Amino acid sequence: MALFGRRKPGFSKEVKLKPEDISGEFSDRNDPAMVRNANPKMEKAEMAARAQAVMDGTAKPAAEAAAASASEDLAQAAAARGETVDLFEYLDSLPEVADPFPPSEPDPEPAPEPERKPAEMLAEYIRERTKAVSLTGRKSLAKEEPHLDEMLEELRGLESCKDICTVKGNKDEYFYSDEHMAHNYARIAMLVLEKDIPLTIAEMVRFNCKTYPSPTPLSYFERHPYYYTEPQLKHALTMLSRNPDYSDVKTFVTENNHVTYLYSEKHMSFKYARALAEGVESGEADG
Amino acid sequence: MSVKNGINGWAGSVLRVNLTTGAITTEDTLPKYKPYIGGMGLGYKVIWDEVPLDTDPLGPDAKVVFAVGPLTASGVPCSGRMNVSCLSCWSKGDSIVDAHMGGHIAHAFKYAGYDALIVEGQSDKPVYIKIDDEKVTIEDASEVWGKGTFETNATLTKANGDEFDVASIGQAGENLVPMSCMVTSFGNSGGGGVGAVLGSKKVKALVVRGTGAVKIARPLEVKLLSNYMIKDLVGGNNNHNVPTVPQTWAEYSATTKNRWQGAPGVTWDKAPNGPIDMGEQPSGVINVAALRCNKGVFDFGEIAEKYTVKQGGCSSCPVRCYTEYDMDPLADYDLPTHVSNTCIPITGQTGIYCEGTHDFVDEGDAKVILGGAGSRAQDDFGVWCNYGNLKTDFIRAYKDGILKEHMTEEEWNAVPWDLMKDGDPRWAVEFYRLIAEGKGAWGVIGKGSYYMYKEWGLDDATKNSAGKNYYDEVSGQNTNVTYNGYPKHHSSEDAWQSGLLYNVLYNRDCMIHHCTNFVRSGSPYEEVIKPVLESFFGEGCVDAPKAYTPINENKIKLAKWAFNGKQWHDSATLCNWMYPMTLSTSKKRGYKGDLDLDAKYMSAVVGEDYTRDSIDFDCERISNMLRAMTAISFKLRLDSSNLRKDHDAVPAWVFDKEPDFKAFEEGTVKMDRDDWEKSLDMFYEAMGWDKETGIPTRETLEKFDLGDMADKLAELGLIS
Amino acid sequence: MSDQKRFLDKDYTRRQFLKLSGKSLVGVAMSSAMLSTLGVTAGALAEDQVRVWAFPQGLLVVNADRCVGCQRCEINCTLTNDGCCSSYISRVKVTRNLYSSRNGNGLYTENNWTYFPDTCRQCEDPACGNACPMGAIVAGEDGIRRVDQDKCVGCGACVEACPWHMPTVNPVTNKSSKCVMCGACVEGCPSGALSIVPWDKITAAAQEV
Repeated sequence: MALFGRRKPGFSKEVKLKPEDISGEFSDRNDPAMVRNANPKMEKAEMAARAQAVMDGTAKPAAEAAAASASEDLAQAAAARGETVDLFEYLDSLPEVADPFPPSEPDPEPAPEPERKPAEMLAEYIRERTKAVSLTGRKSLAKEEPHLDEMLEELRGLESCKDICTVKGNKDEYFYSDEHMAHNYARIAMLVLEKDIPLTIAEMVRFNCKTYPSPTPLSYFERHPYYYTEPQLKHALTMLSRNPDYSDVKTFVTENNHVTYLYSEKHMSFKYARALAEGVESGEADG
Repeated sequence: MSVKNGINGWAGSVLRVNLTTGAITTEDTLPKYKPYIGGMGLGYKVIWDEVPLDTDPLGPDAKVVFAVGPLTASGVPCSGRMNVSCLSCWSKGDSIVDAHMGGHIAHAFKYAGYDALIVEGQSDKPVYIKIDDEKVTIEDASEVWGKGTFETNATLTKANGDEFDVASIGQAGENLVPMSCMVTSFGNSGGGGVGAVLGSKKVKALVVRGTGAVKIARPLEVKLLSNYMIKDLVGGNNNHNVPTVPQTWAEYSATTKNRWQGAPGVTWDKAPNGPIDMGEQPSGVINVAALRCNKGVFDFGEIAEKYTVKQGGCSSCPVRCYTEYDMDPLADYDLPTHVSNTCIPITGQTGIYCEGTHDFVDEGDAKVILGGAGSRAQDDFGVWCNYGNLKTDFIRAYKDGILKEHMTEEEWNAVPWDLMKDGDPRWAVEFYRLIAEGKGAWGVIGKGSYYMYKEWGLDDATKNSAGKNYYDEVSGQNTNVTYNGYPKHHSSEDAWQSGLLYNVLYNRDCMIHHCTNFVRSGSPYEEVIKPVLESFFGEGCVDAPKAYTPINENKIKLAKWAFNGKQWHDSATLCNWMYPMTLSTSKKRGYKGDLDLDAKYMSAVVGEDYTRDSIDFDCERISNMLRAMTAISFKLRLDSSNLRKDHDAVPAWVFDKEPDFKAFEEGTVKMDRDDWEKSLDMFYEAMGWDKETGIPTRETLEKFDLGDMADKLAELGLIS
Repeated sequence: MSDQKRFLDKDYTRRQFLKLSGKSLVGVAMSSAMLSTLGVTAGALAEDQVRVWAFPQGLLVVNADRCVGCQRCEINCTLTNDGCCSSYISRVKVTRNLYSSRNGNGLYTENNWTYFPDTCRQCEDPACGNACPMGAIVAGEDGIRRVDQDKCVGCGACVEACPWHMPTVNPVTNKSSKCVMCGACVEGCPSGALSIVPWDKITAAAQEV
């Protein structure tokens, strides 16, 4: 799936301005430290000549000058042929320009990293995967790591790893970092991963009834992050109706527009569930 | 402009244009209008001082006040709002009313150097008022008179210059149809009958350019507060603080629907260079805030993505609630394909197709395509639908046979009913044309519910052939919240008695979103809504969804907060759909917002110490002005001495709906009559209004330096 | 593939991207890693909807399709640099493009929903600086070209000379001003239409094949 438009946090850095930065360095009015040219007279004469040229139209504005060399420009030439040129090739073909800006602040020397414990490296691995919206299953870890139990024991005791949490499914236990994923989302991610659709439906229907409170439209499971198809849902509803473990999960259809909803009678009455659903479907929330 | 004259926040000048004499003058905003803040408060003060409340709203002595406030164009997010005050030409009592316009014109106006424009007198030929910084002129509008608002806005921008902002009336306003508005930007409108009032003055448009600046006492603080608000407080549209679908960073999501529709997989399909995925929009990040709202998806479902180019809206707002569409199926009917709106003008259009609709290109797309056609037409003709009442009044009158009864055969046959029956988008255009022309039976509908029901005996079940009282009828189409001619706007169905209380108090639909914003946010009740609201207003101030309880003191506090708060937004000016910051997106904050934020903004902008209490006090002044002026109007026009009975009365359906339920049973939002009377008692007491009449007492009015209003009330025998 | 492995350091990356400042990127192909780092689509590049400018701290990317017309770039610019709130004197300009701008875009044109902020082109050979009779537009030690308020006499030559009329003479102070690369506009943009991608991120993307 394309990431365009999906700017994950941390992906591009916001440039934060502190008030003390602004008044000094960036305000036109307050900057006394403007560099004056070493030869002010000559610069002034040159500038006057250039100014005159601009005003009587004899100077080429930068844009025009750029256009004049278009025929030599690899990108323009490629576009004219209906092709493209690779960015780096293109950059290589362009003449060097002076960098007017001072050298960047060198990245601070990284503090000598204390010997990282295996548990911390594991935590970091889990964190990176969480950032990529992936849970990390214990079973898959166990395959790679013979000392997993000890590592996890150690991890649980470390202050620096207290963001590492677990969510238990039926097939496995999963790790995630709560700095990059909400607990309730991790639960949903686990359910989606374990692909037990009837269970997923039952769990979420119960959760929604208890928490918001709200019955759940069946279409909820067609959306992100579930993306179940109609046949999958149809099959799941049949499974739900047959399994006594899910006997509290009921379906109904709204009267005005025949939308299927589910609720758990452990957490709300049918009358209430129907009233809430019909409120939404009749546009009560809209005005 | 304020930077020139050294005033923080306010622009400093009130502009006055007299169309009868041609005189154009200015006066200082301060100190005179400071206690009234700006916007609505300033407008009401002007009308009170200068327009007797029995003036003909469409006569030469009526005035219109366009006003903004100290926070408009101050850098504060969601401050791109302009208030318009005048006398109502359509609701019971023809009393004081205001319209609210977004787009970009409020900023232009403030940058031009004005806090308000008072339009008085009448022109005998079509004109527009041109404001180019200090140069203000009355210009000839004959070229655009008779044209729709879109053409007018484009023409006047081109004629005057790229940077000019325009708001214009359409044919509805020109024809003095009370259900009329002004339209600016692209589908941003201000209703309340303002179109007709301006039409009666032959003012076609306001054209504004401002090259000035608003002086801010502590500008970096405003920027930092804005960053804080956008990162940690504000949510999606209507300030819904959790996303519709689960997002990785969010503990909660909406389950059914809410107004934070942006999500991975939801796209601006018609972005010029490929669909733009709206992605996730975590709390704490500024540069994705504009991707939370896709109003089209909220209104119509996934199908709206197909026609979405981007989201737009008002100056300074990061939320962007105006979905900007390119609906190419409309081209097949020779209709414009560019449509933008956020509200009932686009969502309520399928209803006027009384014999049903059909799909166009995709299954279920009638509501989008017809919505687009109707929205564009409604805005173009400058018709105001009274938050949907215009449409439902038509639907009911059509279906009950009332409409046919009141048309001659000729009139009936002249209507292109075939277009309606065929589900043709051009029906919407014809419908709004007929309303805008204001003739015959259409003219009666265009008078608005109050005068329409009166004229056709629809306010009395014994007086019409359908045997119905259109105010009281229990029907999905009836949303009248009083007998004054306007519908509910997020009332008891969202917010128990509190919602109903503030819905009855104005002379139009209330525009208040304080409560609906958290109720419909998608946040869980027990874990978030209840604790946060109770931390502000005390135990019992909120009820669980559709599980109401009897009235109590803290629900009254909530109602009073929302009521005064609307006056604040429309005086400051701030958006009624986004403020206040009651909840927050931030888990670290326990999802609790910051109700002191507005005062922080005022202090940083104006450079004086404002607090929530000090602002509340000024707003309560304006609340009392509204109330006193309403009482005076009702006395002068209707010989009524009792607002409780004659203004605040609530139609039967509010109590009689959902017959399978009893009030306060789980699953119903119906109200209880005795409980409602008790609610009024307690609310009036909290406001310092007479318990029997609902009219402010002298003591209350004098507390707010409104002794002159008390004198007038006493003169009329309304108070002792 | 070419030597993107050379892109090991921020300043090297910056020197390379400086060559692109303000150039049309039509005909240029980028890897999906680079496209996503910049937050743009290949289609947008091909339609000339994306321009980039090298700032000291990173690459300014202007993505027109994402501009939602909120005007917060102008607000942030003036709050930060002028101590007030204005559109006219803002160094980034979007309001003038909203309705029927000189390039045929805007709400009242055929290209209704096309509006976006104009940013200073940071021209290598600046028409504004060249036109200024007082020599007031010069780069400081940090390489950023500013209008020296002491030297400026408010003649407006810079405004006229700039093909995009980016500098503005403040009607109150009678001094001109132009973009000073502070990044406030980017900081406040709620849709990512303006973004500054730090050099180390570009460097990282350059190393991905």
